[in-house]
Amino acid sequence: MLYPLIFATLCGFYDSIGYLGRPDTLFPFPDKPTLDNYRKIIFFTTDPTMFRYLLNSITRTVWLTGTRVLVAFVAGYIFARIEFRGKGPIFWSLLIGRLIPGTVLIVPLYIQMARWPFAGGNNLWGVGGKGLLDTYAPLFLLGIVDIIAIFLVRQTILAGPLELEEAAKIDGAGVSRLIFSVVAPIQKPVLAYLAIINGIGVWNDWFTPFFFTSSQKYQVWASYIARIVQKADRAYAIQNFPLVLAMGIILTIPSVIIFFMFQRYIVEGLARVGIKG
Amino acid sequence: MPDKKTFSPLKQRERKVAYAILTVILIYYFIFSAFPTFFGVVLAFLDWTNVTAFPKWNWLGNFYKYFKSSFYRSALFRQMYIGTLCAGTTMLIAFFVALLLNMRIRGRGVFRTIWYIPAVTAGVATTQIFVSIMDPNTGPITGLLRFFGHGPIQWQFSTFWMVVWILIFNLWGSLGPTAVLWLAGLQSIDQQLYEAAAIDGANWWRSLLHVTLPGIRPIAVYALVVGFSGSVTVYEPVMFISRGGPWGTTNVAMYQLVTDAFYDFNLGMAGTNAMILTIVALIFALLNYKIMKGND
Repeated sequence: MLYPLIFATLCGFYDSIGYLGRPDTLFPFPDKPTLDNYRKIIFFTTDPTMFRYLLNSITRTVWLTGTRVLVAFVAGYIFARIEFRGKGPIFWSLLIGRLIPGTVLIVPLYIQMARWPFAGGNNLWGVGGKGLLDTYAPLFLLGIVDIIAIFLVRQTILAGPLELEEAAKIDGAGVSRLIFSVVAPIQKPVLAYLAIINGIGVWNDWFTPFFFTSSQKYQVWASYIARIVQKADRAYAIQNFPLVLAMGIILTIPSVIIFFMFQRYIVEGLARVGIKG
Repeated sequence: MPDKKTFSPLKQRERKVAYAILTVILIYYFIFSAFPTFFGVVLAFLDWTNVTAFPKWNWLGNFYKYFKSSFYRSALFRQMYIGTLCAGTTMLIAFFVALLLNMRIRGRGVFRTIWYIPAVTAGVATTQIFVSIMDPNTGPITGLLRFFGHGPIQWQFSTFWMVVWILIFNLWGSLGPTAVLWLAGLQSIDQQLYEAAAIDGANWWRSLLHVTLPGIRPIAVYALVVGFSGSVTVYEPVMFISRGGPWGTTNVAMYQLVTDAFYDFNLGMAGTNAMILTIVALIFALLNYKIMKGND
């Protein structure tokens, strides 16, 4: 299972010429291992743009994870604890909408971004310019509301202790104090699970930046790798393959670390989704 | 449901806050989820080949083209069969992996972790690792083949092998989470049922059939529905390893969609493609659900 990752780490120590002559053993240890690739990435000495990609990745991950969890938590609480007219139908229609696989929404979203009124040179009818394509907007605006997450939070809150909340209300807690200081700590497992799953997901997401932006300065780490791979399609040769592999490993490392640290939450959360789903 | 008739003043304020927040969320959802869905459906009926040009209404023209041309038909077919192949094998193998992981061996937590790690990797990076591994010139697979006296296999020129590699890649990434899912199901089965079966003289195989399988029915429903409808959107290995395979023979509908939309700017057909894929995914989900529920 881990073999591909180990293999790639080893390959990252080759320089691009030596890579072509690597032995075809299972574990190709390079004759002249070089830290060049990893050094390039980690210390950004020869390529300051790499820092930009890393920064974009980090900001996007933090932002999207934070907003997603926040929205899921608040909306989940609302659907779980607060009664209002139309709650049932609204909830179920949201859920039904989620049956549609997300990837097929890409094309309409792309057009919407391109035809956004008053953005990027567009007029009222969204004609004329590039709209919100190739800006920070698609990177930071898309994907904040996730019905499955809201559903999950709702289920766990419903299964949780009502007495604590009632007690807090008697003590005069307002709504925001209630949810953030009382309910949130109880729901830490679910929130942690959501944060981790979404965090890793956004960090690895190459799709959105790849298709919705084209300028270098908007790329994230994952989409940068994707571009190199795509460009190679034309020439059918990636110039510095070990560098690409090394970048892939660097992309993977934070996810693996986070996973190791929090695997308990992930496994529990996954099981909970399955049993309740 | 909890009794809501007490605490009246707070109820009013709560409701206002709820409405306010929900309105924002619903507006967002409408702009970025609901509207694109409708728009996507409309797209399927348009002839639109350039983002800057104006679309033309095309009635069922796109659909006609889709089903008439063997090009699109086969893309859809490939998506189906590759997707089902991946989903089916993943679920089957993952079940046995889960059985293994369920055994009380020391260090099974570590095993569980190892199986799950591929799922947190990024497809864009891991596909390249696979490309490197299967490199016919200097890849380790070739080395293994050489060890057994066999020459290198040129995978890129064989549809069969490309599908195999797509399957392997998919398995590598999906076995972990699927196995964890099965594991959760296995562990939810009451141990006493096993003991009762043992008393009745059931061996390993029979207890598997009569205790385990019925016990994991609920999880199985979820796993099958999610697994199969998720399989409809297999495209990463196609995009980054086979790139549509030897001369378009692993061109799955999803990949064609991306190509249509972002390289050829044939937005109408992409919309049609998307809509058909969605319908198929829904049908799959419904079928699976019916089958699993119907067995009761």
